[in-house]
Amino acid sequence: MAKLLARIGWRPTKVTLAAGVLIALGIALTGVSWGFVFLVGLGMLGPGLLRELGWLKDQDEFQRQAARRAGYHAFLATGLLAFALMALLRTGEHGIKEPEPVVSLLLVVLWFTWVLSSLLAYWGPRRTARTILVTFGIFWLIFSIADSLHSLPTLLMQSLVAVPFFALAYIAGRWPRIAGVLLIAAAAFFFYFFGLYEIFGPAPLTRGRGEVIVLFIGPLLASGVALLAGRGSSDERRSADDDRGSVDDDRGGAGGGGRVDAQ
Amino acid sequence: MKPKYDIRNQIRLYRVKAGDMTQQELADRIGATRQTIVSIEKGRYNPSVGLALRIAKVLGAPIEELFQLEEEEGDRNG
Repeated sequence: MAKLLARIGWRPTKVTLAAGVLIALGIALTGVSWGFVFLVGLGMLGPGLLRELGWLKDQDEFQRQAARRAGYHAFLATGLLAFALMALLRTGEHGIKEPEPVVSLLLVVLWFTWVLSSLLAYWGPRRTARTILVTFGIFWLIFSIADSLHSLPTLLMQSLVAVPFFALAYIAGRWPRIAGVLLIAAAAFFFYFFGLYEIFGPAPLTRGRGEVIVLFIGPLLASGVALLAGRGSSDERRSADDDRGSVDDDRGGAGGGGRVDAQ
Repeated sequence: MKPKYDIRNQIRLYRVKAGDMTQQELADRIGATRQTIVSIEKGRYNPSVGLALRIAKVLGAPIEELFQLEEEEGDRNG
């Protein structure tokens, strides 16, 4: 497993793996009692808390900076959403009967913004987009296999839906601008196809609509925008070389540079 | 308008001079991740003074040759 993860360029630390186990365990045990959802919170926020207390020193300065910047982005996104929800809840008919979907949506936005911002800062737009698309493709494939084990033709047909994600991952590595446009188009298509525009209707947060938008449309849209907003082509070509994962293929070449403002 | 500067670095060049040192080897020796070295070389991340000094020490290069401040072309004439 560690070798497989290393092949795709991801080397999770023991802390990351432990946090992942806590999150998976928490989600699984919600079937027994929703009290276990707190384990998910511990898995998501525990490592960061330990790092801030200085008890865990498993990151270098670049990783810490990326995580802190992502935290600020998460604060901005969640804060804005909280105020929007407050405005909605305080002004007449809103169709939200329970507090749970509101809290759930806030947590999902908090987590999604933090993860996406961290990945973009750490890996850059190309690799982040590729990773998101491959993850989407794998999840869709697993879902298809689990859903249609009874019939081989159905399995093959459903599995084909994963192909565009893998194809887009390939395109993102070669032609990021084209992939960016296709990803935004795909986000718009799925938004319409799954009827997610009903978030603007009389019952906005029913059936986890908000979470689906954030977790399904959000990654497609965000990686599309990131690919379009990415830097110039020469930098991207170098980025692609660096992102291949081999340490031996990028020894030479010109120096790099980054912009700073005068103080 | 405040002038803008580019911080250019020659880490790749000095890695080659240091016997074809890989990014992973450099990262291991300065206590960072390979991705951090990738980001510094690409100019996506400007390291702290401490990390820059550690890189210079490992590569055996003067820090002012490893990192150079260059004013942007468009800002030179105001």
